[in-house]
Amino acid sequence: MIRRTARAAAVELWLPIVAVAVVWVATTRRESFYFPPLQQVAHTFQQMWLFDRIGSDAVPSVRNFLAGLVIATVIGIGAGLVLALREGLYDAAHPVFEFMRSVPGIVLVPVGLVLMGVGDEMKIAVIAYGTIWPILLGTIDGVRSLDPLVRDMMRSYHIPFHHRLLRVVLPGASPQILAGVRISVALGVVLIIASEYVASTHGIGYVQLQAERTFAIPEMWSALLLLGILGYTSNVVFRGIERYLLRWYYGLRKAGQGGSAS
Amino acid sequence: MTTSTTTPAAATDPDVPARLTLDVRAVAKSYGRGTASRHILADVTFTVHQGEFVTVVGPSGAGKTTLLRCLAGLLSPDAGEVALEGENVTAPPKGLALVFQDYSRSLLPWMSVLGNVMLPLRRSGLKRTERHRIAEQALQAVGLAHATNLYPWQMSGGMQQRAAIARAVACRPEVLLMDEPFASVDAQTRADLEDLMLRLREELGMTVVLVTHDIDEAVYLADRVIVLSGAPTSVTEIIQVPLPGPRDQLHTKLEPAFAELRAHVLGLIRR
Repeated sequence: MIRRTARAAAVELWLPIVAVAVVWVATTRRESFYFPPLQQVAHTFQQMWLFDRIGSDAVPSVRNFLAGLVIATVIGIGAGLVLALREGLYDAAHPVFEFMRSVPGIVLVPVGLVLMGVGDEMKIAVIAYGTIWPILLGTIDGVRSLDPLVRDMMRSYHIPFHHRLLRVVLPGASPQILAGVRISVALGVVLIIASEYVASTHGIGYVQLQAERTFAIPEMWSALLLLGILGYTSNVVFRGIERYLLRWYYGLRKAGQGGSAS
Repeated sequence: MTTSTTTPAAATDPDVPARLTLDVRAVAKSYGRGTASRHILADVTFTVHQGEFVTVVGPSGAGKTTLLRCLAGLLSPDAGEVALEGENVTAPPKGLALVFQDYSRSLLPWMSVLGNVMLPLRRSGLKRTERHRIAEQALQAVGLAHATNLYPWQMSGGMQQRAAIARAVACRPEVLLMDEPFASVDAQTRADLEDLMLRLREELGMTVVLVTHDIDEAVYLADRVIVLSGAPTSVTEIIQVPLPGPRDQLHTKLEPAFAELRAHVLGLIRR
């Protein structure tokens, strides 16, 4: 077990270590204005983010990200269930969804500014809008692909509606729902920054843009570094949640039975 | 040719008139419309008495599953009626439990075996501890007392079908419907499950209707065998099985009466 964990960690870590080493060597001796030595970026990172700007800039960004994602998940799953379970509703709504989904979340920043002002609400709304689609479509896909035999089983055993929903339909659709959430997590990280580039007074995106505009290059790189760490961490956390919720699914696949949720 | 359908079950006491449980009258069903229409069930009529074990056997494509879905209330017939305990079946009735052929799809892989068995009991308004007790009892009855916390996919096919049977039995149905329940397990497991069904019927006094394409199985399990014709389907013959109980795989199948009945049913199906 420990050996396997160590092996997995080694597989995961070798490339980042190599990348850091390459950048370190490549930037150390060169006196490039745009590519300051990694030591300097690290030093700036430490000064800026540990823990000077954490409260003022990193926390709001992360908070907006989480709030947007939670809203998107709740509405996405709720609306997805309604659309998938009501016969015909999905087909009617499909063209509208495809249109709305095709509008990138980023272009909504100006619209959000006009409608909601420059506050956090606008940023959260932009993140929620941009991240809702994969979750919504994943939910619809998951619910609709539920085995007809399972529907027959629920009917003939008279399973009450809320139990059907919570104990059968939702768990059955969870592999597709979580696949959607996974995409949304990645989209959300992009949208944090996009929502902070315009008319903002704080946030990681704001700091990075300010640094770039004032030619504070090490600061710019350090913000980028933080964002990378944030994206990576959220992915690791999400993967953990996914593994926990879908342990039955991995077991089922490993057992080689093409169950109801394939 | 249809023989009398009101004969009482061989297993019930002949002095007490057997109570009618399931009444199937002139059921017909087609799929599709116009020229693409396929006539599956033409005219199926039979009755099942309380405590009786009835098997339905027919050539492949005889609409056995269609018939079973009509009995289960999952499909409404185009003509004719199905009545359970005197009430017309228009939706899945509460007094009826269904065991599907494909256990790996009908058991929910995200729940433990115990969870799967307890799920239908939620409708009954029982307390959690009570549901738990009933489910454990049912699992014990099918020989899965040691496996209640396993997930279905951690078990063999035979064990999964036992769990599905436990789920049905836990509901205490008036009639247990089984759709080719042992078609996807190996021969040894199949024999074990057949004997399990005979034992459960004995212990719980259940009424069982089992659809199969296996003639040996049909004769071995049944008080009466209902032989269907090919599609469009009607009942070819209803055969009493006077084999004594308790039956067992070795001796019952060696009896001359068993061989005779088996040959007779085979002749009807091959015809």
